[in-house]
Amino acid sequence: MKTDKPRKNPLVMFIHKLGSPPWFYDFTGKFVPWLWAVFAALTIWGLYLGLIKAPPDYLQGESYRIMYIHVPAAWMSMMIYVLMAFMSFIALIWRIRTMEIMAMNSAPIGAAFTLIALATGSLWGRPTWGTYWVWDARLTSELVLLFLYLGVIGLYKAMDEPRKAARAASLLALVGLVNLPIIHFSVKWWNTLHQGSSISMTGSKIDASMLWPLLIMAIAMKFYYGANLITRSRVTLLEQDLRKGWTRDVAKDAARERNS
Amino acid sequence: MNHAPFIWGSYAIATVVLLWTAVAPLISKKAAFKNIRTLNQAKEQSRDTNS
Repeated sequence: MKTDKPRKNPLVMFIHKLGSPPWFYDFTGKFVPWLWAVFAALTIWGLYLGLIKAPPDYLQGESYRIMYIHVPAAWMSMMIYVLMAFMSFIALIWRIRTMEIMAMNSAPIGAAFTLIALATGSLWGRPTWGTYWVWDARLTSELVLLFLYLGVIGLYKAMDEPRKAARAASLLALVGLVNLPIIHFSVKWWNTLHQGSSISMTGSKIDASMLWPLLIMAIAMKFYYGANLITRSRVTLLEQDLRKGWTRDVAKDAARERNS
Repeated sequence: MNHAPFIWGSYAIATVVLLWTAVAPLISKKAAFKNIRTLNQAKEQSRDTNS
């Protein structure tokens, strides 16, 4: 006699599988070369259009070309923080170790993008505003974002027990979410030197010849994040599971591949 | 004002930071594999001496 077993939701099944370190290592490893390849192709295309094909700006001249790295980096700095907080939330509620690892590995990538946004913004500010830095609401809140990322990284590294450390750092990541609306709306809430948004959900004030390279670069950076996050998370799993059988098999396979 | 140093400076900084962020986990991966191999060798040696 057949019994009707309740069918599990495929998404729930996938999340369950993702929680298994050997499965996660094996499954995600297949995507890494493709993600890097798409990132490289889009970056070359975006930079070609942005640095060579796009015309100079009528007001800023050539200096506006900094936008093709500054704006995608600034967008990524905020997007990664939202994803890190989201993964931290899931990790805190359901205690999924791979989620903790992915949340914690998002922090250095987010910090790198924030650093790029601040540095390139500063270099863009000199020819445009006549100064490298002002304590403007947008710039200051973005600097606070860098400190939040550094705080998450520092807290995670400060404790010997990685799972306990991830929980503490996840809480900090969630608290830091409050800074994101401040960054986004800073140009509306305060009278800032930093310009308002040129691109919104309803349209763009940028000419298509300048907008397309920007969008291509923004998509390229998402592939960079994906490739880098997976690479880092796989390495963290290896480091945490040094004494487990599956890492021995992975190390053996890697040595065999290298020798062949 | 010549804008070239500011533009190239921005792209140079971004390249260095993105490259380092991409290469750092590969260095850690190499170290992790080395640690796994060392641990396994030690385990095999202790098994040989016990048997």
